[in-house]
Amino acid sequence: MKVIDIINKLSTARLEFQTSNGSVLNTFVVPFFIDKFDLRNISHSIALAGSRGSGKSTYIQYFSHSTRFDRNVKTINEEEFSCILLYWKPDIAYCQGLKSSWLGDDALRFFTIHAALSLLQELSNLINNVSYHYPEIINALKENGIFWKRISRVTNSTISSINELNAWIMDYKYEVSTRLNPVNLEGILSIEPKQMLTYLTDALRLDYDKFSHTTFKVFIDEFELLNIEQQQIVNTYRKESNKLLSWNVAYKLNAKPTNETTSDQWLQSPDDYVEENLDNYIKDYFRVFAAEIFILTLQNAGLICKAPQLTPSFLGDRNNIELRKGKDYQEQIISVIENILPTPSIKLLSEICIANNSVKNKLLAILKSLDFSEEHIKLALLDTSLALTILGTYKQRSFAPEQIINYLNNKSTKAEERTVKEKINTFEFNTLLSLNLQNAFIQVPVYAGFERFITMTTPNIRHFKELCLSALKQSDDFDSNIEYLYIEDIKPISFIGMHKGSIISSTSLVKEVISYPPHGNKLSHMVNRIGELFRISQKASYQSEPERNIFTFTYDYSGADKELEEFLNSALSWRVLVEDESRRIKDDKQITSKEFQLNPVYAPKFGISYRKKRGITLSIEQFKTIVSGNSESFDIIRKQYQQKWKSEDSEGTQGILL
Amino acid sequence: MIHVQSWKTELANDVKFDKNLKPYDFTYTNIDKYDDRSDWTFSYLSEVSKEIITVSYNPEAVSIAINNYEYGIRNLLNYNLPKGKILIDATTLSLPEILHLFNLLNNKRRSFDVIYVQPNGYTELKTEGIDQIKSFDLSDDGLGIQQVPPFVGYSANSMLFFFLGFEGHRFGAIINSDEFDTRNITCLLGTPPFRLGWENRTLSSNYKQLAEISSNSNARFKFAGANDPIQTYEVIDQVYQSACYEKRSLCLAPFGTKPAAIAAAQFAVNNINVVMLYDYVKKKNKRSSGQDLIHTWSFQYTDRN
Repeated sequence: MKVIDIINKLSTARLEFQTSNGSVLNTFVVPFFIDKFDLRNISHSIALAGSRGSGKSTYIQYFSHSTRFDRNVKTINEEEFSCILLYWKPDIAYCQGLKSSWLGDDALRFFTIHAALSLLQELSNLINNVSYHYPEIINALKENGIFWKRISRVTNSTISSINELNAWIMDYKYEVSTRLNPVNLEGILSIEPKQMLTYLTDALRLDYDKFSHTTFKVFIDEFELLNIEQQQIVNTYRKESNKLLSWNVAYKLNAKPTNETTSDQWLQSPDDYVEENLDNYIKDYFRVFAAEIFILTLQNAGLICKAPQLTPSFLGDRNNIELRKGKDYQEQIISVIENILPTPSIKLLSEICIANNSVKNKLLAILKSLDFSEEHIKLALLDTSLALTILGTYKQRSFAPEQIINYLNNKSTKAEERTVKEKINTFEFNTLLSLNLQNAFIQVPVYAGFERFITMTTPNIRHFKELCLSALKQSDDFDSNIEYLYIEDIKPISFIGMHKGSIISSTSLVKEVISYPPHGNKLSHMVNRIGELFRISQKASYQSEPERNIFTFTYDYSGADKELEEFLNSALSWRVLVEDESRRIKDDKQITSKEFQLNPVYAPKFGISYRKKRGITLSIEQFKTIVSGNSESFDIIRKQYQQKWKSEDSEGTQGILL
Repeated sequence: MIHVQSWKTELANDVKFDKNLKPYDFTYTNIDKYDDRSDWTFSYLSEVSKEIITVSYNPEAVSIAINNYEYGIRNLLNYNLPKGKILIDATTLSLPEILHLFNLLNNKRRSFDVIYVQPNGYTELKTEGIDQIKSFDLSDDGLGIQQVPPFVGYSANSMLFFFLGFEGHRFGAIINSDEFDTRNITCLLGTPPFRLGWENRTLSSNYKQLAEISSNSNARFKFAGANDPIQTYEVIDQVYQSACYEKRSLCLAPFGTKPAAIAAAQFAVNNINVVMLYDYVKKKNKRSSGQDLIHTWSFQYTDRN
């Protein structure tokens, strides 16, 4: 395969668009936590929350009958029958269109018919999938006849086969679709989804012995996007979940679906359900998990992996988890991916930087101005991390040349040595970021490498894949006719290629923000303007607070400003912002308990740090101006910060390191 | 059903009025003034129409206010249509209002005229830096993309027909929302555009989105004059026929020019199984400048054979 062919294959969108039958067999890497988070084994009703791109739908689909009984599965364990998972992703645009302000009580009638028809289709697919492996199910249903009798009762039509049922569902869906304009429900069946499913799953238990002890679980995806009244109905079902039939939902992290039911008994956690955060499960394993997913994706694109066990079926088999947790295995997988996307250490980045003549000359001039001897200059240039740190900190009032000289002479006290090392730790990477922003001719690849991709994208698999894809587009072999057969054939992407790829991806993701409904314009203002403020900070030559990329504002999150909180929830839900408990920003007057970072994947667009480091506190008025003010009002804030950060510059106006 | 019987175009600045003759008895418009065109249109309407009736759609209540009197969409037929010659001002009305007025007039078997005033230009977004693609600053956040009752239907398995405009993010919202399958999308490009070269603006404004959909779908393109509802209607019909052939419903997202939205509204009123999408963006003040051509289309009601 040529690089261009791989890129074209990888460009496909979300995994759920790649599956037409709901199965994710061989396209899913079983995560390590699967045993403690097997959706089928959890006894209570679950609300699965996960941020956008965390793979919620795929995770559920892995447990659904479509994957468990996929016709390509070689052997099916009888235990698969102990719990059957039915997956329903409602037709959200349609459901949202069924407004009660338009249809009154009929709105819920249309919704329940939609739910019932979709679940009926799921049951039909279940029987079909099971019949690939257990053909006798067809006869059992025919001979015992309870299921088909009840289907006929539910549909008010004579139906006795899967084909007839599928045809009826399709016809009835069409019939219902013609009843909205004008609204006319005359003669339309009233099917209550929960009653229907209880009635029909009971029939399955009676007709086919393998189902006799089966728990059926319904998973409703994108629950947060249903109308409130629709959520209330589903919540009523969730509250009435039992061992035989349980109702579960999945929604975006930070979405706030209602807990109301159709009665005054609201859903309560943990009595009625438990919210499970998929991000928390993924976070701890993301590095290896993402590497495995990328290797799997490359294989699905048509390449072969030389490492014999890294096959799609190996990665999709939960029996291999213990092996995959092993150090040797993990080193192997990381080495495969590091071969394609090598990560330059910060020290190596400093070496790349110092190789630039302008940087080197400037450094020499600085060291001379600090009265360093020829010998010390030589030593300093050999320790590139130290040299870069000197470049980034020599203007600071606390800068002590004698401390550095002692360090170079190996004559530091332990405390002094620690201080120098801490300084390097704090300012080396910061200096590299600043140099990139200050000088168009310097491009240190600060965003290059697999490890940095991981930091920028955790826990978003989709963003990780985008960075990888964007890096591949920068391959030296992009325009060549070189054919790859193995993943290991892929030539390492250059540091600068990965760096550029990250900036391109990041810029593209920032541009996408404006189309995140319903606050796209405001979200876009926020990302671009806060990014701009941090860019100004990062560009300044003198920084007491390096790598500023966190902000907080004076607000107590008490519900007093609903509009603001709704906006923040939307930002978190789209993962435009990442929230954390406040600990970095120390201020006695601070009333806020939360701090925010722009999604680290946006850092390359603005040339700022993707690591959680230092921050600023905005006033609530400033934050609101950033979000919804016009460009003139934001300009005032921008200039204030420009002034403030420039004024810290001990040398006054120059503002750059070189 | 309703069809365009005649189409008159004049230069807005050349329009002459007969002070003693007001050809229309009443005109439906929205009095919110956004820019030069709305100001001009409002004075024009005062010259040609005996009565001005304001119309605005409330998507949350799914109701339409006619002269501040609220009608639920299901009760809209209770509205007593005044007698006389009707004009609809499509310049200031949004798609949902035009759609409901068309539906109402079609149900009441009335013929009517529609006017639309083209602008001289649209407001560009102020950006810094030289590498920015020119983008336009026309609207604020709306409610997000929704189906417009009663033109509601399944979106899974429907054929999406998106009309490209100057705001690529409105297209992006469809791509990014998890509710629409854009694998089989058809896009309409308004060409010839209002002004020579404006088709490039449409393409550059939607470049990112077009690149995205073309990488993972079988996107198709259709072309119709940006100010030509008749040709647009024919193009919609072609897509509709192929949707019907594949047993899919047609999902129209008329986010392009107003004449194209007029065609979409007319098509939805005349056909079954058409789903209409709209995002209810808030139009910004001073979003366009000047007034160029004024179009008047006469819509004739005819009984379906």
